Amino acid sequence: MEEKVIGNQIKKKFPWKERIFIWALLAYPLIQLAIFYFYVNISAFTLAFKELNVDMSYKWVGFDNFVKVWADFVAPNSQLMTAFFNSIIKWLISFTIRTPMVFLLSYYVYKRMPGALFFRIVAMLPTIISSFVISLIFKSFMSNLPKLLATYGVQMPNVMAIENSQYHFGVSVIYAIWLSWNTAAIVYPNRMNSIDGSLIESAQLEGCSLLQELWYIIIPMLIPTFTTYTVLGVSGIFSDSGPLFALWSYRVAPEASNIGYFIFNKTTNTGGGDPTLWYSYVAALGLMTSVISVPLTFGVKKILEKADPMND
Amino acid sequence: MISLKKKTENKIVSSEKNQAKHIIAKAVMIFLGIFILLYILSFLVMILWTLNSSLKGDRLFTKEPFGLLDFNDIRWENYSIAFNKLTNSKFFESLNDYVYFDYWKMFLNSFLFAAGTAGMGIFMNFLVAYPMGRYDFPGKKFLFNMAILLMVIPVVGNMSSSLYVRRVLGIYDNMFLHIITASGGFGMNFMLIYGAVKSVSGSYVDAAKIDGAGDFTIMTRISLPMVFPLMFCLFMIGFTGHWNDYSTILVYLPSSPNLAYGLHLFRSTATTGDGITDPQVLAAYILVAIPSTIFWCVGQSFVLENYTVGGLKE
Repeated sequence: MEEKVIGNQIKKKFPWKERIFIWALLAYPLIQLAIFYFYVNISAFTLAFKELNVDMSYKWVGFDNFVKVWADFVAPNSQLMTAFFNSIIKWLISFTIRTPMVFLLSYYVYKRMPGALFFRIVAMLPTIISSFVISLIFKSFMSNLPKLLATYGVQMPNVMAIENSQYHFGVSVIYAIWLSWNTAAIVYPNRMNSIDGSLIESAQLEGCSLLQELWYIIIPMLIPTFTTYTVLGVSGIFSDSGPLFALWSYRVAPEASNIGYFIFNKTTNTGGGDPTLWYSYVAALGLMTSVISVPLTFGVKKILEKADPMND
Repeated sequence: MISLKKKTENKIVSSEKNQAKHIIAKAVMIFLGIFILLYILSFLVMILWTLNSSLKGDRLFTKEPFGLLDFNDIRWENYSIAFNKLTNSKFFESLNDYVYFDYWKMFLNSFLFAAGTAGMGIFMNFLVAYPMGRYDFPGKKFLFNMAILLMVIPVVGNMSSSLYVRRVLGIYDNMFLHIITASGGFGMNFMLIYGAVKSVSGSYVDAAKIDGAGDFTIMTRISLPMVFPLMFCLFMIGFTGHWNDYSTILVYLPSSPNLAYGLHLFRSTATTGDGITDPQVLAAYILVAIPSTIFWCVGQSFVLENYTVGGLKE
């Protein structure tokens, strides 16, 4: 920005060429955002208050879709309620197990302990090979594992079989956790490498143990990155369908379903009828879960930012 | 006054506590080492089992699914059969006929979709991150706060609306239009590129200005080359992710099946019969995994060193 002296005042002059250049760069991304984010979400908002007519036009029905969603939610043996609580439970289990392990494992990699390099490579395999292929391999492997164990006299049910749906939720949670160590292998260690080495050295000279170094120096430095991933994770509680489709396609048992899968299934599964008939219902369901997830996300963000020692 | 004896006792206790801490730390590291070993083994066993089983005959696989393959009867033809069976057909109303997608057509779709979406995404991120990181202008703070809000605000259940809008605009099921419209300029990659642009020293820009360089020249000749390593790293990650994406193809581009979606359709066919044996199904999994593995091997060192994520603040 240029400065121009007028009398005893300094006026900042914004060159027009620069301004045109800036907004020329921003034009298309902002147009894209306006149409494919704001318009789509506003459309989802209004779609929740409409219903599809026989002639494929939409008519305004007020809160009817919300009433239908709520009725389905509170009905006896409600699939929607099961899916709702499965989404929350899945995230809670995953977060509880992963959080301490991610810090410990990434510290192990940062310290270049034995096996750290192999761990980095293997943790990236689901990204490299495709989580979908991994899931198919996992399914084939687990489907045949009972035969192997039976030869040693160990009885194990085929947990992947459709008829053994009572195991599906547990399998999907364990599977999701098993695949999710790439942040521990790549992101956090890279972040740790940016920590000033002199801090670590002085701590070691003071007789600091590895765990003390991790707790008092490393983890506080990682809080911003941890906050980013946690906030993004919380915001995706109800939109993440997990590995359900990859493992069981459209045949996921109701007791294993979650909200993300429920929405995906209704919107894309032509086997259950015309998916377009469900658009308004799904839009209403999305809005109702957003009412919960938006304040939850911002609440978690606020708490974690308060916990960040860099903010003291 | 603390007696000498007391001081010595305190020193011994303190030294013992320190020793205990170091022992506990070592025990934790050993536990982590065992965990990592089991984790690596779990993947290796599964992948080796898949490779081993894909070369078996169907009878041997059914009888001994975890046995070693018969080296006198290695079924290489499982791969050629799987390669030929990885074919899908789609009915096109405009042509009033079925179009068949073999492995190479799906490979091409995978490449176009992955490279196009990842490349367009990074390009859009740069278009937003560059002016935000380089200039101070009215509206910048609003845009930055909006960028953070967009990442954090959960949007659930807008798939139906997104499909509806795309059908109305005529973008649905068109790969080229999907690529140029699907990628936004905000998100995590925007934050990373923004940070990189901000870190470019102002002295380079000043020197370029003195030499008479305009805004566009400074962007393309000074800033872009400096942030290019990060952008390439993000492109590689995005490419791999989109290569393996089947759900977007399934929902938005069903007429352009990529290898991942083709595998999904193949798997559905395999479970309903059609003479495909289990070893051939496993061979198909390997065939689909090979291209992305090769791409990753080429670019992985770049990604492993350059990918890091910060906080959601300026």
